[in-house]
Amino acid sequence: MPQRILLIDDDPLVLDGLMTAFRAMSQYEVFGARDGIEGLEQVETFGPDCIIVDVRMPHLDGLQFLLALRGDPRMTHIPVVILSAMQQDDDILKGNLTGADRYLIKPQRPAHLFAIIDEVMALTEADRLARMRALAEGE
Amino acid sequence: MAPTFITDDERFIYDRLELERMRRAVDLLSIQNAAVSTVMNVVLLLFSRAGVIHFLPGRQGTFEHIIYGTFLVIVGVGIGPLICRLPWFTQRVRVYSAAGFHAVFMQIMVSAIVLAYAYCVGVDGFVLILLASMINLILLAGSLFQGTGSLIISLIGLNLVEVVVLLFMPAAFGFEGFTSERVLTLILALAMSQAAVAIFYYWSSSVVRNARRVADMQIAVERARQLDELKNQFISSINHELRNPIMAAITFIDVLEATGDHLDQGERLRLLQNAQQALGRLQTLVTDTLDMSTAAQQAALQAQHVTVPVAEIVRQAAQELAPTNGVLDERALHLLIPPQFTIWGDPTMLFQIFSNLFSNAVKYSAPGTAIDVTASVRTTEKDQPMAEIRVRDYGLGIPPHHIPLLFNNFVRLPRDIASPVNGNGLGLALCRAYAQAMEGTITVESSGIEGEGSTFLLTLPVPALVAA
Repeated sequence: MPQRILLIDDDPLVLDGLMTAFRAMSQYEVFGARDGIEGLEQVETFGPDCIIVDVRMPHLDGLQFLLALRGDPRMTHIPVVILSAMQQDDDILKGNLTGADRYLIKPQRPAHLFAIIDEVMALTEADRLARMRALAEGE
Repeated sequence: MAPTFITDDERFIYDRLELERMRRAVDLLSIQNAAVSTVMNVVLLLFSRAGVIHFLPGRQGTFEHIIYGTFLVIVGVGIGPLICRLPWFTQRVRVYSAAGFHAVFMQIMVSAIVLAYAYCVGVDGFVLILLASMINLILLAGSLFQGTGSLIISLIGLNLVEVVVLLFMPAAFGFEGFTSERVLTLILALAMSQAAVAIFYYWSSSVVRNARRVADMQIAVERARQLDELKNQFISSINHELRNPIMAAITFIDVLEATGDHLDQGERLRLLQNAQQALGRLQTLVTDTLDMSTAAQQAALQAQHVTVPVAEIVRQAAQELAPTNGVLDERALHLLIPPQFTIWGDPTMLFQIFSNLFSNAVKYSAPGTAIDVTASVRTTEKDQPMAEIRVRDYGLGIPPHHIPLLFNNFVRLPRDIASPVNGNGLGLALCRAYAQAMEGTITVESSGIEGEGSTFLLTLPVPALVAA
């Protein structure tokens, strides 16, 4: 059974591009959402194995989405990759502290995204804990 | 004083700071009034006990008098600062009424004190009150708005007049029993109170001066802060607008490269068109960005000055928007401009302004809401007739604290950057450049409440013939 990936981005062109790329170039099964609220609904419906989320979005932004996700015991284990245009250190730190497993700055090529997805899906709970600890100590 | 070269945005900040600094002056004057009055009460009591000043015949001042007097003063002067902090009215109204109230209250107090002196020593109180009031009023006005030098001179002058009047008054008013002892007591009391007042106002005005210096520094800091904010807004809006289309274009092209041979014709075309659309967005952004740096100067040089029929241009701008967005037809465009209404300016620029304003109105208001365009002619203070054209929508509105920066390059509201509505924060900056090139202005009013929308006011010169 193919692994399910949820893509959340409010820019229709970016979302369309990513969905097309995932369908054409990877084995993943892919779903799309245009903001955090739709994203949470999709998580409920499809139970994705990995999520790629933008930060700046209307209604519920990427960080709020992550907070909601990490706060729910049923979903807290899902690996999340932030894919955002925001590239300042603050933004990256915020994203990582909120619970993202990777923070990627746009633009990224699809092939690289696939590699990252495989990487984060291979992460164990211990890896995550170690990463969070490193972040907290880096503060 | 206000710096000579400041932008409209800075003037807005400056006005706010000016009010803030007046509010502080009212506070400080009140505190010092209370302090000085207390000291004066104590001094007068001591004088009265020592027999230098006679209060009501047969009575000496008591400590209760001081307590009551001081209490009254503190309550009285406390009202000014209180008015400044009321939750109602605008800050301007509050501060000016507080300053006014303070002046009136001090007036009453000084009058009461002088009347008491006059009663004790048997001199016509009315003349004294008049004199003291004049001094006090000038002092108060001066401390709030001006420096101290002129005040000290007027104080000395008025005191001299006072002494002369006092010396000759008994004869003029036919007072009996006016002794040199009484005159001396009166002069002593007046001189003492005036000296206290003079010292206290000298403090106050140096405090006000310091407050001004602080405010000037605050303006400098505020300018730096706003520049920083502009820079951050620029970075975040340009980041978003640049990186997203690049991301989209790369993705579509990668897909085409990887699978191009297996795709059917229609899908390949769709991918290509999407990549092109993303690149188109990039191109527009880059062109606008580069244009913008020179647009303002070029606009001023290239502006035509001809008679422009406004209603015609508005109609064209509305039509241009309709086919691309397909949205304007869902709106009620209320065009309340007389067909013969004209302005003096550049038709292309006016067209650009309207299409920007309309596209904003459509972007930031719900489908089905109206857009009103009205026009009128208003005569300015300089007796110059100006055309006022208002474009009103009933959309999200603009939070008032975001208005000062709104017409700058690359400014987008934080709300919009996080929304699917595309924009580069250049439209309104261009509108302002064009309006200024036509020797007009553009401003906006909005409560920031969703549904009340915003009103853009375009002020432009009217043709000389109409003006005549």
